[in-house]
Amino acid sequence: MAKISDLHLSVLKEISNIGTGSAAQSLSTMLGRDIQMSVPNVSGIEISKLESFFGGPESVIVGTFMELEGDLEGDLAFLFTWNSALELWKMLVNTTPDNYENLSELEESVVLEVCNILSCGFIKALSDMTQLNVQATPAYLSIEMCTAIINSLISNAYEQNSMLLVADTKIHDEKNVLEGSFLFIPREESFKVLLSNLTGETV
Amino acid sequence: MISVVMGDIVIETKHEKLVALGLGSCIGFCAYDCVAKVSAMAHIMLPEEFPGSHENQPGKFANTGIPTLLDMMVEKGAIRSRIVVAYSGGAQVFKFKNTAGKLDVGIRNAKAVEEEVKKARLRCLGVSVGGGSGRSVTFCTESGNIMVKTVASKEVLLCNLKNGMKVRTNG
Repeated sequence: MAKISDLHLSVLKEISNIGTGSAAQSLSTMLGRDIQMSVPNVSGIEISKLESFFGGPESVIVGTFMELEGDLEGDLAFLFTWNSALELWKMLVNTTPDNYENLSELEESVVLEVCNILSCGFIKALSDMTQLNVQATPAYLSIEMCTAIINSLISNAYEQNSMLLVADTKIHDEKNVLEGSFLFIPREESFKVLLSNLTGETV
Repeated sequence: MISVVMGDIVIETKHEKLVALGLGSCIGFCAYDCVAKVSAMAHIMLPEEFPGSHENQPGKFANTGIPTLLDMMVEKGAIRSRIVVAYSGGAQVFKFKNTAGKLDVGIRNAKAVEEEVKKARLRCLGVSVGGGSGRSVTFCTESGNIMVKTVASKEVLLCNLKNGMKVRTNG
């Protein structure tokens, strides 16, 4: 897997901040009330840190996965704890599933929609900053043991020679706060294109 | 209990349990020689080493991990013809409507492990691979039981590497 430097992280931080800003705006407009979003921290992936954030290797989490198309190749994933997913459903549709095996179509699509809004905010920020043509594709859902999701993403990234960058993400309205991890997984070659586009230099 | 994490190969001779928690596309590969009482588990990440993988951790790949695991067992006194194996994992945890080519590492991992098992002429007692569910695999090295757990189901017995019992085989 490609190595990650401070430069990669600061680029991610910048894109995430702009991206979550526009994603929060989209969510607020859709819901007709104030939703805030922030990225308190970015880092490279550390399995044990993520596992403990999500409550241990076998804790059930909710994850979405999306491939990027266009001038940049890579993937986006968004992971949150089951409890945060419950907050999300309360916040957005005012219902919650009884358990993780019995999700209604509405509950599934809410998670995918939030992931779409987040990803599109991120992609828009990315495109605006670089003038590159980057497009979203449909997102996919997984409700699984946290390590099963994280390790599957890592294996895939490893094989594609991609980087795995994690942006801690907070979404909140007046009452609820939910925390998740937004994963930006660009191919190493694509990150080079991204950097040279931002700095005007060949990396 | 020893947790076998991604890319690891662990050889056990003191009846300590070996576990691979939360296998998604990865494979938990268990092997046992009941005479030498040598147990082993590998947590395999990808089918094969590829150009540019720059790795000296053979346990990451099926094509290097399984031969290395067998060598390590032999070093501890195991004899190849006595070694029996079982493995589980290789799922595709994201729900794809059209699965072709997307995050299909799990399916390819299962195939690669099957080939290595054939190549080494190992007797395989239990296989539980594929599908959409992540799994945790526990090798109770004292009893020989291989247990598999998913989010939806409690721990079930896959097979027993000590008495040669096959319980169920799928995929």
